[in-house]
Amino acid sequence: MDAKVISRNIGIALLLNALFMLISAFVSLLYGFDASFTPLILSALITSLVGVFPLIFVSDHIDINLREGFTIVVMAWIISCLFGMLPYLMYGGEFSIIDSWFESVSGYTTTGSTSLSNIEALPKGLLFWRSSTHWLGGLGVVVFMLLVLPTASSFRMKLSKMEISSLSKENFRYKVKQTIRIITTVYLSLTLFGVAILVMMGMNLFDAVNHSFSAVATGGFSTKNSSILYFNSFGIELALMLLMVMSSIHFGLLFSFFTGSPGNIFKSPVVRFYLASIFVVGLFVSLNIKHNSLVVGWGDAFRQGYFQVISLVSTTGFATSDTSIWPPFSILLLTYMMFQCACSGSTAGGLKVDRIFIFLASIRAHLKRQIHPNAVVPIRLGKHVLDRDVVSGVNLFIGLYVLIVFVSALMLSLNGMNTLEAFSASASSMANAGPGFGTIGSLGNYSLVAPTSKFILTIQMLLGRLEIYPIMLMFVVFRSR
Amino acid sequence: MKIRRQISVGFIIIASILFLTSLIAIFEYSRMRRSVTTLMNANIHSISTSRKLMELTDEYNFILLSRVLIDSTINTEEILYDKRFQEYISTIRNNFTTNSERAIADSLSEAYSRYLSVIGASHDVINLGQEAKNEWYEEELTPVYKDLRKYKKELGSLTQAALLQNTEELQQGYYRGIMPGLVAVGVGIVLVILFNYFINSLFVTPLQKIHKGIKNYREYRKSYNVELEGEGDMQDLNLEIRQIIEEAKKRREE
Repeated sequence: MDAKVISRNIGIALLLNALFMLISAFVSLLYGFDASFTPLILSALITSLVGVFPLIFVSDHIDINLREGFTIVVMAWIISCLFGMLPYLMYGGEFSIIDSWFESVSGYTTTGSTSLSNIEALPKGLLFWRSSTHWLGGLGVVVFMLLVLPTASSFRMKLSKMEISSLSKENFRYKVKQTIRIITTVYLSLTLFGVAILVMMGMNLFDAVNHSFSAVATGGFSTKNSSILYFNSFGIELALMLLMVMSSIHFGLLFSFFTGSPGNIFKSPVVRFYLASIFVVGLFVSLNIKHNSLVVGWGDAFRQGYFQVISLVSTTGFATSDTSIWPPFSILLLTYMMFQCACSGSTAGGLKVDRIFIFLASIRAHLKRQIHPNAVVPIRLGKHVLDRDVVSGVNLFIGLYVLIVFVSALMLSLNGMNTLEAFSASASSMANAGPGFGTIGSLGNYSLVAPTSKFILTIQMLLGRLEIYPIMLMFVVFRSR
Repeated sequence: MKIRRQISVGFIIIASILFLTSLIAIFEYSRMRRSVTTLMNANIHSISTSRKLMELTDEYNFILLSRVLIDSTINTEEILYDKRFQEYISTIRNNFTTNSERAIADSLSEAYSRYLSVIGASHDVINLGQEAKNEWYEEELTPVYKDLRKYKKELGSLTQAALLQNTEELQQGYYRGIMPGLVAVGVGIVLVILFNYFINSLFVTPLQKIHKGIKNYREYRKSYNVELEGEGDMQDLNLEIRQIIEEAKKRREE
C-alpha cells in the first residue's frame, strides 16, 4: 500500500474543504466580519496548506489499487471531519474538543445532530460552514474525488459502489462517468431549486441557502434553535417536504424523470414501496396524534404527522413538533422509519428501503421454498433476478446493522442514558437521521450527552454513512499487511 | 517538479505554518492584554465607586441621625448640595454595559431624589418633640434610606455578576487565543512528519537503491536493474546511471 498515493488524494479532498471554508469566511465578511471570520480564514489556510503538501511530492501518474482505494475513502472522510472541526474549535463558545468533533462528523455524515443548546448565537459564517459540511458530505467527498482520481475505471466502479450503496448498481447500470455527471447535475439542480422555492415561500436568502443545503443532503442542520417550527409556515414545510422526498429518491431516476422519461420513477418497485410506506405510516401517525388530542385540528395532524415521517424516513431530521411527547404507537412507527430509511443512490443514510424490499422478498421466497422444496424461486427486484450472493449480503448487512445499533445502545446506557434515549440515539446516528426521542428529541439537542457517548455516536455516524463494510475492510487491509 | 523546488516548497509550507502560529499567538495575546487591562480597570473602578456610594450614604445617615437625636444645630444643608453622589452615579453609568445595570442606576437615582426630598423636610421636624422626631426618623427617613441602600446593594451585586461574566469571557478569550496556536502547532508537527516521510521515500530510499545497484554491479558484476516508480529527478538519475552502465558493459565486451 502506497502512502504517497493515499496522502495525495486525501490532500485533494482537503483542498475542497478549504475552498468551502473560504466561501464561509466570505459569508462572514458579508455579514460585517462576524466572530467566525478569523477562525474560518485560519482554518482555510491551515487546511489548504496541509492539502497542498502531498501534491508537491506525489505526481498524479501513480495508479491506485483496491487496498489504497478503501483507505483513501475511509481516511478522506475521517480527515475531512478532523479538519472540518477546526473552525468550531477555534471559534470556541459552546464548542469543546468533543463537541467540535461531534458537530463536524454530524455535518459531514449528514446526520444533523447538534451538541449546541443555542444555535442562533452562532455567527453567520459558522452557520454557513455547518450547512456546507452537510452539502459536501451529501454529495460525498469520495464522489468529488472520483472526478479527480486518476484513470482506474475498475476501481472507480468499486468506489462508487461503496459510496452510493451497491444495491443501486443492481437496479441502474449506468457507466461510472455518467453516474458522476448525473449525481452532480441532480445535486446542484436540487440545491438551486430548494433555494428558489424556499425564498418564494418567504424565507430570507441566508436561511434558504442553509436549509436547502441541509435538505438536499438530507442532513438536518437548521439555523434556528426550534428548527422549522420557528418559521411556522405551511408553505415552507411543504417545500421542504417536497425537497426531502426528492433528495431521498435515487438520483438516476430523478435525472430520467426530468429528462424525458418521467414514467421510470414510478416503474421502480423500490420507489413505489418507499412512497407507499410514507403514505401509510404518515396516515397512521397523523390519526394517532389526532386521536390522542396532541393537535387541534385534522389539518395540523396531517401537517405535523407527514412532516415528521418524511423528515425521519429521508434521514433529514428537521422538526416542526416535539415527537418525544407523541404516543408510543407513533414513536415506534417513527423508529421503524429510522431503520427503513430511503432509496439507495440518494444522499439518505440507514438500511435503505431497497434492502428492506429484498429482505421481505427473500422471506416470501423462503416461505415458498418451504411449501415447494424442489421449486426454483427467484428473488426479483423489478425485472432483475437477484443473485443469491446479493440477497445473502443484504440479509447479513441488516443483521450486522441491527447488532451495531444494539451494542451501541448498550454502551450508551452504561453512560447514563435511559433506554428510549440510548436506543433512539443509537438508531438515529446509525441511520444518519439526527433526532432521537427524549432530551435528544426533534426539538432537543445532544448538549447534555456525556462526551464518551458523543464519541460512540460519531463512530456510528461514520459507520452508517460508509455502510459499515469499508471501515471494517480498512482494518482488514491493515491487518493483512 | 524538480527536487530543489519540491524541498523548497515543502520548507516554505512548514515555515508558513510556523509563521502563522506565531502571528496568531502575537495577535491573540496582544488583544488579550488590551482587553484584560480594560476590563479589570473598569471593574475595579465600578467596585470602588459602589463602595464610595455606600460610605457616602452612611455618612449622610449619621449626620441626619445626629441632628434628629443628639444635636439639632448640626447642619444638614451640605447633604442637599453635595454633588458627590450624582458624580459617582454618572461615573458608574458610564461603565455600564447591560440594560439591567442601567435600570438599577435609574432606580438608585430616583431613590436618592426621594431621600433628598425627605431630608429637605427635616427643618420642620427639628422643632418637634423627641417622640415626633423618632417617628419621623422611623416612618419617613428610614424607608427611603433602606430603598437607597437596597438599590446600592443590587448595583453591587450586578457589578460582581458583571465581573464574573467578564472573568468567563476572559477564560473564553484565553481559549480562543490558545486554540489556533495549538492547532497550528499540531498541524506543523504533522507536516514535519509528512515531510520526513516524503524526503525518505522519494529521495533517500531511491538513492540507497541506486547506491546498492551500483555497488552490486561494481563488486559482483550483477546487472543494474533498479526500478523507480513515477517521474522526477531521481528517476532521470537512475535512467542515466543505467545507460552509463550499459555503455560501460558494451565497451568492456568490445
